[in-house]
This record gives sequence, C-alpha cells and structure tokens, in this order.
Amino acid sequence: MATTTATITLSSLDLLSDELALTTTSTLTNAGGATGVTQASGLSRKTLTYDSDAEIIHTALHRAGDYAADKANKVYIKNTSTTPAEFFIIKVGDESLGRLYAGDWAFFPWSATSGTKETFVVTATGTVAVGESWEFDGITTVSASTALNTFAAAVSAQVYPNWTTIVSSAAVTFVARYAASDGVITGDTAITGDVLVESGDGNFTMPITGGTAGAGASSQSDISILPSVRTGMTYETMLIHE
Amino acid sequence: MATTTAAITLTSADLLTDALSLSATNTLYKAGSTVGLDQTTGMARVHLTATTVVDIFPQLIEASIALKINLHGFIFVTNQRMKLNLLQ
Repeated sequence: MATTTATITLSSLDLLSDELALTTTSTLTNAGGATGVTQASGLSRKTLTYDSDAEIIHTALHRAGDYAADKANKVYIKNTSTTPAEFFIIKVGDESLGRLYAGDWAFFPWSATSGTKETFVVTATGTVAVGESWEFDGITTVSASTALNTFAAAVSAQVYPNWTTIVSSAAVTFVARYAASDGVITGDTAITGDVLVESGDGNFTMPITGGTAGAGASSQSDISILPSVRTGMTYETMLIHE
Repeated sequence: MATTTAAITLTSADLLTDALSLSATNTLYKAGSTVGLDQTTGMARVHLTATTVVDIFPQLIEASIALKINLHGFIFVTNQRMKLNLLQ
C-alpha cells in the first residue's frame, strides 16, 4: 500500500494582529478506508499558446469518464506564470472554481462524475460490392470484397478520432471516446454525419440499431482551464486517484 | 501590506517507482497584482451532525458576484480538523 502525504501550510506575520501559522497534513487514502491511494497521473507541464484571442478555448486537463466516480481523487494544478495579471480560469464541468493567478496553485478533491458516452450499432446489410464505401467521423472505408462481415471488420479496424469500435459479424458498435451529447443518433434508422456510397443497385445499406437509447450526455465534472492570454501560459497538473 | 504564504507538499516514497516530492509555495496577492491579500474571515470549526448540504462560506456566497468580476480569493477546507477561508 502506497503512503502519500499532502501538507498545506498557510502563514503570515502581518495579515492579522497575531501570527497565522496553519499547517494540516493528510495521508491520501481511498474513499471510506485507510488504504492508500495507488494511482497517479504524474506531474505534467504544458504551455498553451494560441494565434489569436478568438482561438483561446478551454483545455480539458482531466476527463471524468477516464476515472472512477465518487472516489477520493485529488487534483493539483499550478499556474507557473510570473506575470501577476496572467491567470487560468479553473472549471469543473460548467462551474468555475475561480482564477489561478501567477504562481497560484490549487489542490482539491474531485468526484469525477461522468456523463454518458453515446453509442450505436451500424450493421452492414444487403449486398456490398467492391468499391462501395461508408464514411463516418472523417474516416472512409472502401469495401475490398463482397462479404458483409469483411466490410464490417474493415470499418471497425479504422481509427476514428472520436469513437472506438467493436465488431461482431456484420455489426459494428461505435462508442464515443468521451461522454457528451454528440447528436449523432437521430433515430433508429439514421445517424448524422455518415456518408454511404453504393454502386446504384440500392442493395447496400448501413442502418443503425440501438436508437436513441444510446444517446450521450455531457460530463458535468471534466476539469478544464482557460488561459487569460494567448501568448503562452504554462500550467502544471497532477491527478492522484483510485 | 500583509504577506501571506501558502505552501503545499505532496510526498510519497512508494506511490511511484521513484520518490514523489512536490512542493509549491506562493504568496497570496490580490487579483492581477503583487499587493498582498489583507482580509480574512478567520478560522472556524464546525461539527456537523447531518448529511444535508451546508453553506460553509456565506460570506463568499454573498460576495460571489464581486468575486466573479475581478477579485481574488482562496478557500481552505479540511475534514474534521479546521476550516479557514481567506478572501479579499
């Protein structure tokens, strides 16, 4: 069992009329127990730079879907800037925790409550001809055979930017990489964003099953940051988790 | 001008294959400046006997609009031991 210790000290000789000297130490344990936490993301450091102010966007540091919910996770974030006016806005989901100005750091618990990853099943149906294709998420699969299962396997073998896949016979299950309402599923027989190119005989289709039951929902607790300037601000972060 | 310092250390000899020894210290300033924070609520200690939601920082809630605009505040909370919040 790992033993990890966090100590915070607040001190001032002149904030109050008496000295402020507060120190608290805690051994980081799993939720509801005395077993030490055993996993950590490692301390990472990244500089965010943008070409224009309009391009500044929230950057996800830790996605709730990647971790167990309602555990004793702890997040450390530091703004390494030395320019007093530069700050990061720290957000958990849509909620702003506050600003981290130059040199500031934060250490706080994180429930990592995730949303729902959108999912649907596409099944190669009918008669597929060599050269017919199906495009989704910017990835096009061209059939090299007349076997539906082979085409489905080829679709599943692709690497999609926003989806993972599992194939079973002629059916390919798509699962979003991140919890969100992607809006891809529009009903039981259609998805948004796919392009089917078939030879004209009308025999080849790629209908979905699973329908709206697979609709996703955004995570309300992803941790993200927003820099105040575009000219290069650096943060450090570490996640200690179960 | 008051000088208030916050420091954190994270240490572990066995969480990773190498020792973890992270330390960070910062002086608490007003937003966007090098002027030290000069106000604090002081430390409070509360024993809670119910699991209902409790507003532990009513002062911060009342001041939340101002804080969201451009002020700088810090919150420090520990479980079972002590509670302190510093705010501008």
